Amino acid sequence: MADDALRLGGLFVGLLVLTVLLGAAGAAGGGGSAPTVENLTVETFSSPDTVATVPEETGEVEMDARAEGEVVVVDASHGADIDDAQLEPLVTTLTENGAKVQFISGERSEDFNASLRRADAYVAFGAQSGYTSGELAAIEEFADAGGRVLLLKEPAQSTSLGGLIIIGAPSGGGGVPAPMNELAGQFGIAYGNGYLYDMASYDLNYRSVYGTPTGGALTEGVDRLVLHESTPVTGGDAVVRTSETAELSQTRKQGEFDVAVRSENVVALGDSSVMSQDYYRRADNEVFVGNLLDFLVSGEKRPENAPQPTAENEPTRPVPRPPA
Amino acid sequence: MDNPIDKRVATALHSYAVIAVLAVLIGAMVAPFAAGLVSGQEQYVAVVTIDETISDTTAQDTIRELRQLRENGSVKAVVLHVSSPGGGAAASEAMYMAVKRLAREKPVYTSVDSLAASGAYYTIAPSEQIFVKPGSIVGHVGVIATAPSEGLQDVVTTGPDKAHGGMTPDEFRASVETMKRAFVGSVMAERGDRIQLDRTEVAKAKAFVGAQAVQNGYADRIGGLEAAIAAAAADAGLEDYSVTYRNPAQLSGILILAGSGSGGDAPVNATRTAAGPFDYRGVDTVHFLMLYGVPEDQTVIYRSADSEVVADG
Repeated sequence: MADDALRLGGLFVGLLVLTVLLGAAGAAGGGGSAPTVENLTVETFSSPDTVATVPEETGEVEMDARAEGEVVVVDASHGADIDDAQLEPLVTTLTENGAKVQFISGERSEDFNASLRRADAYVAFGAQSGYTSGELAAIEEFADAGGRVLLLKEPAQSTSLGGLIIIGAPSGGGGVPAPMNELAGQFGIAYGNGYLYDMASYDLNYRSVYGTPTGGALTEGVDRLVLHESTPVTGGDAVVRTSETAELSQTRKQGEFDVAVRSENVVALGDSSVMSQDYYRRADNEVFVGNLLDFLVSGEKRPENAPQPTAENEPTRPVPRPPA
Repeated sequence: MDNPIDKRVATALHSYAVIAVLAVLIGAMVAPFAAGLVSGQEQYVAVVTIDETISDTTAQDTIRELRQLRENGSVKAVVLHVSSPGGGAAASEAMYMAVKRLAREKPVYTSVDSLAASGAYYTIAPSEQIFVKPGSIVGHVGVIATAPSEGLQDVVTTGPDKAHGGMTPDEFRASVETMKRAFVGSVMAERGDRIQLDRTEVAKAKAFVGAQAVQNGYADRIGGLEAAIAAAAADAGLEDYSVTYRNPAQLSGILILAGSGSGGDAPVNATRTAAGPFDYRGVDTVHFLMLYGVPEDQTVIYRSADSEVVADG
């Protein structure tokens, strides 16, 4: 009985000491009285330069050219990358100035060519499905006849990797020429691959680069443009160029890139957002848009010199290639 | 003693189990008082593990621990033992401020295992020295904003911005830009004298492996945890010291993992839950992240900069 009591007593004392030591060690490491708290100043948090503000948006699109009776057709077929926000400034301004805005939405080449016959200007927003050779020939003849052509293309916008959508990721490629390059290539113009960004000078986000005019009527009254997610354009005569600190996403090459070029009756922009509701009042974008609309309604094409579809330029529409 | 109750008490007192429980209980009560004695004698280097995706919940746990270590007189130096891809923007900023506050009072050193990227790099930026392995990844200074993949839906609201995360697209961009400026500015301020890249290059959000990071100043030395502990102890002037290991966010990290596959059984509420590091159960919302990678099923809407990493665009 005495031995039992001794053993129990020993156990009690042993565990008591062990617990105290363990607890004390833990408390020593993690002790817990209320600390004295002094103000922590983080200068980068409190600096006025840290806070980014949304740039002011001013101005309205105005046209100088006579637009009465002019017909501008917007290609809504060919998987065009358009929405209401992109179209609104163009459609509203042209309509206010007396022009007619029509849309090509059919799938038949003869409808496409018939639409061109009635038009004074043709606008393509980022076609994603191919043109037939007949349609390409019709557009070329249209421009040769004095019709004005405006091509607008954004860089590839998204790539799906499983359930994840990555905006701005490089396009998938695949060796098939992009439809817009098939079209632009007829006029000696080519769109690049990737998007432009500028880490040194930008409008709110590094993908909104500044463009400056290189001269000519299309940029009259323009000091600076904001181009949100643009892609370089080569060929023709430069109209708008980035600053030398711009870089191309695909190659990380730094330098000046042309983002708008002109080849006679054809203007190609590596950015369509400049005409969208989101960006058309940024910097001098509205002046540039007004000049582009003037360009569209100032062509010399008349119905009598309209291109006529022929049997050989009416091949079967190709199977649309899958989106990149 | 003939009383049956007294007999039961006597029997109980002779039970090993009861004696053990009593000893532990009394010991636990006495321990805090003994701690004072211990703290007056022992000197510690505390190693704090940060090996989780940083969320508000894990940040609170870690910040609470850092606060205790800051105030504890027997802890002379702290080593952050880090392997984290970063996490929420505000949570990462809170971690940065907590480490900065601690570093003003005690030497803080960092040992990076696999990752100290984005918000985790923000966290360790105030460290006196950053130890990396050649294959560690550090840097990736930038911000991304994500939205639910289904998008934000228009419903009946009281104002035009109520249905779209409270900001216009431009205001989202401005918010991301503001956070980026604070992030880049803080990194430059903390490591400006050591980092070889200028602000513009840092803002590109490049990630570097440890061997590169030591060359360009994102980190200081190649070495493991033991080297970081030794350096922290030497900085604190310690010759005879003990090391105490803490993993303050371990429990919330386990809860997050356990909850991620639990489906929708839990009660709906709008508090941060264990469903995921950035989830408010029942609410799809926009997140500002300082993260190496992108949460699943989220759409990246804006970035402060490009990433060098293929999977991150």
